[in-house]
Amino acid sequence: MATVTIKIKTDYIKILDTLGSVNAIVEDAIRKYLIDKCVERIEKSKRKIEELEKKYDCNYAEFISKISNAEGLKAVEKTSLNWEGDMAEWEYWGNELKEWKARLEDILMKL
Amino acid sequence: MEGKIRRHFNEIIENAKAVLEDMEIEQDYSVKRALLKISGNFRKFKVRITEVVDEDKRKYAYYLIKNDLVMIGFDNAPDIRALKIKYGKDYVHHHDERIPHFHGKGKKSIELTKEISFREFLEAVKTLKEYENDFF
Repeated sequence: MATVTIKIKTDYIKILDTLGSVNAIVEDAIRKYLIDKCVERIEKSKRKIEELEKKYDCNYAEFISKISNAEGLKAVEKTSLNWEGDMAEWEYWGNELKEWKARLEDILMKL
Repeated sequence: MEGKIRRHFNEIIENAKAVLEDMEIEQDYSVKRALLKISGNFRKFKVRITEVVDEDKRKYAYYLIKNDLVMIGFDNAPDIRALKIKYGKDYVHHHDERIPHFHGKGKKSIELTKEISFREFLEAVKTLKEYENDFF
């Protein structure tokens, strides 16, 4: 556990003191914030991936398989002239989805 | 890392603003990576930009398109046509290697390049502009 010093308004501290341990309350608030952030990022990543799957009518693994042979590549270029940009974006959201899921699992497992 | 990427993306956006019209910009910044997408018009051409910085690795695709035809395109995707130029028959062993290259008109030609910047892409576009009437 790391120690971080943060400034909190005195009025807030007074109220927090009546509700219990300030440390516990702050930690719980941060945990809730991080869970919300993870869910938000997971949903955004899924939405972006779905858009690309719809555009190319396949999932990422199938897309990679298509661009790995001349015939498949020709078909992909009929869908998009600059699939290369979509590929970079697809990888981006795939990595995001994987990592934010792992972060969420990590947070949920610890408490 | 994020500050460095933001400065890099802001520079691309400023350079694009100086040249493109009807620009649309999409940005996403996350823990390990960031994404920038720009679309806009340059005269009668469409410009489509995608750049990802992923843990210090750049993935880019800079394209100039007229109607349904690529006029010029620079990217570093693992394109089998570029991999074949570099590795010949052994290209299958490098199928996921990013390789900087250039696409000519209609993607009918392809050349290996060094990794290029957005500024260099714009220079190539401007060169094309100067000879626009001769070319098209």
